[in-house]
Amino acid sequence: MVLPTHLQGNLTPTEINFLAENELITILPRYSIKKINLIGATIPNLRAMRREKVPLWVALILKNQDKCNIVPPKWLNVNYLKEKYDDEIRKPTQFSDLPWNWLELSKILLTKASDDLPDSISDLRSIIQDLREIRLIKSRKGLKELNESNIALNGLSLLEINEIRPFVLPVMNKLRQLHDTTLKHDAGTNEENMADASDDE
Amino acid sequence: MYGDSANKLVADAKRFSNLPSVPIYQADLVKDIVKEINDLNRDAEYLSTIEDNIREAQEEGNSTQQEEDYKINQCQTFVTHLSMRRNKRCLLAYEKLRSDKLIEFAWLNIDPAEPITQSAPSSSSSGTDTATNTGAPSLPNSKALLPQSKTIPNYTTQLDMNNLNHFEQDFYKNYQNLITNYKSKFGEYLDLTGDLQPPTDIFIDVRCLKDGGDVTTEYGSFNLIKDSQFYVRKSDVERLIQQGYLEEI
Repeated sequence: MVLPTHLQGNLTPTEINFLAENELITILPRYSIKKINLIGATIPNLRAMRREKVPLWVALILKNQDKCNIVPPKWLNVNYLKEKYDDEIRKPTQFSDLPWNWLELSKILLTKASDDLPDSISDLRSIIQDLREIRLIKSRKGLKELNESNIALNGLSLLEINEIRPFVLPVMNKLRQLHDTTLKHDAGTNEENMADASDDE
Repeated sequence: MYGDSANKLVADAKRFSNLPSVPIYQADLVKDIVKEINDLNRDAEYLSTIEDNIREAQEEGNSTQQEEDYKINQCQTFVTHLSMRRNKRCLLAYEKLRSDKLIEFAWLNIDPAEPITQSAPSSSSSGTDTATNTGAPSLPNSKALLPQSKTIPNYTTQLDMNNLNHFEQDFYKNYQNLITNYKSKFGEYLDLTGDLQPPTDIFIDVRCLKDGGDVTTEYGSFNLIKDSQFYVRKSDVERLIQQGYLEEI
């Protein structure tokens, strides 16, 4: 394949960020802007002080030029995140349901739109860091349960899945290979499977 | 034993698989291996004539001795073929790795002559440089390659045409033609060889790393003087960053 090996099979953090920037977010424009049709989305007619939903990257450009305020998503405040944190502690075997992009979104908003957030930045940062750490510990613990057939990652976000993928996939592949070879019966079909498995890597 | 030199070749391939450059082609090793394969092939042909003899003898009278001979012959033929196959596999693995690196480089769209002209003057023209500027210029010259490999890690960023054998040189040229043909289908709107990083900022600050004279991009011209800074549209200077003239700040 032409794509360089370090880009194959896994998303880079910048790519995840890029995906997260497609998320719709509510903004409070300060100027009126006519409707714009883009390839993947449309920016609706923007009128001053009327809330509209636009892709995050548009919001960031407007924010950079001081043409809008970003309305933070409803999960991005200390109280809500505190609740989630307590949730995480109460249920040691599962992950609380946070938005699919919570890490990237919060990072983007904290760095680029910090003046629009309701709570103090340092509080938000620390609670997000706490949440991230406790979830990291959980996913580390979960790795002990790795087997060759299935894995449950309910409630993990894209970035979190992405950072365990380069470890989990090869390990599961190896386990599956070993498991397949130890199956004594129907040895004939097994050899074919082995050939497939080694091709996959 | 058969396959030893093939092993050396594969070990060499493993060594350079992570290097940013393509090392010199192991012509001697490859020649050894090909010679070995030829020898093995001769063995195999000889064995097959023997097999025919045994077959004929078998048809006349079926003795246990001939049965035995036949089995031994089969075993020898099999092992000979296995050795040949192993050699073939090692050769192919080596060539594939090299061609992968060439392909990667071809897509990066850097001029392969550039690294040579950069590394060569550091030895040949450093004399003239030191005369005027007390030895300092030779350092930036050798450093000139570093930022480039820093901005695009994990790529094959250096290619010395002299390290390739000429089949590879041909392959490289033909592959470049293929890329150009393919690119031309997309017109000027989509640059397939461009940066693979997702776009972030529209305007960026860039610093010039080495002199490039006047460079005209599609959207205007810059005068590239070393250590000068510009605030430009990223899409204008992407190519220059790839080539190592500019560094993003």
